[in-house]
Amino acid sequence: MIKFKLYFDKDAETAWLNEMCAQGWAMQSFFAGLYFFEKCEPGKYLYQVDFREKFFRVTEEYRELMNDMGVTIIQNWGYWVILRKDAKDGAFELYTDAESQIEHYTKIRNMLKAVTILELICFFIEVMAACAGNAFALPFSGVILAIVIAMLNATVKTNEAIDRLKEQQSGIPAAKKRNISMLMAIGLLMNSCALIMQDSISGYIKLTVQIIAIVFMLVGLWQTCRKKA
Amino acid sequence: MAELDTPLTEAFYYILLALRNPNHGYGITQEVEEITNGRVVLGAGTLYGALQTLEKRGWITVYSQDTQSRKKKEYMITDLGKNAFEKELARLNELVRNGKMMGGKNND
Repeated sequence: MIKFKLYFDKDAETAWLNEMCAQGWAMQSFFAGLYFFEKCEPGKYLYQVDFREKFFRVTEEYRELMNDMGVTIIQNWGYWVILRKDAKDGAFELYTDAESQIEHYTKIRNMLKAVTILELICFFIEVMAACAGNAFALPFSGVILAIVIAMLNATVKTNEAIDRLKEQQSGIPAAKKRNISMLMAIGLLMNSCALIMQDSISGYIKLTVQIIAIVFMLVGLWQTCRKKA
Repeated sequence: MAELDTPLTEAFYYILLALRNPNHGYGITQEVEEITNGRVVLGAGTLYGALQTLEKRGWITVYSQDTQSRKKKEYMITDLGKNAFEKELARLNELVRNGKMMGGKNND
């Protein structure tokens, strides 16, 4: 069985892979959003998703240690590694203390931030091309915008996971710290900057800045509502 | 090498302890689980990160690597690691000694 899914949240992905396995489908490989499953005894395996700093490569040491721990590397895709262990060998957790969990999520957040910035630059270029009359640029910028939104969301979620862990460590609830997402404030600021400089910058740049500002504000608003609920 | 001033995390402390004799990844987790009665369980990711860090600090070293047959890499504590461990143990002993001042039911 093949399923197409795009995950921007590794915890949701892990939960889904384990859910599929519980139903008798063991994930065997992954390619660009396509998950390949094979029939298995329900609940035979436990899955985990790890993040590595090297792109499409795991070190020999990592491979050896995982092997030693009874963990199989199912797929290495980008920065992600999908791992699996026999359920009969007991629970399967990758990171078991707050220190290493925080480190893990911080690495993920930094990557998400970098990719978001990169995508924003791409978006900028695409909108400029669209304004210059390139027919392909418009749908393309729509796709990039969707990726930006997903990335922003994932970054916010990862930040929340880090906050929760830090809360556990310090014993001080940080949930009331801020209820309004920073993204909303940044969006508002960007929009007002674009408005102030209206005459001194070209229309294309202003348009792109405003679209990005609106996206930031919308994602920020969404996250704020989610937090309140 | 820069001196490390922060206390060791439980994971680091127990990994160093388990490496007083040559040991491999799975062996470390087994021993740590055993001596803590299952309280400290080391996940593969946590263990890998800790081993990498400890090796970079020069606190542990690769003891043997059987490249022919079964690939089980063994690590062992170094003198530098032993020093760091001793220092930490002294700190913990001081904590326990002074902690008795509180006078609770856990006092012997």
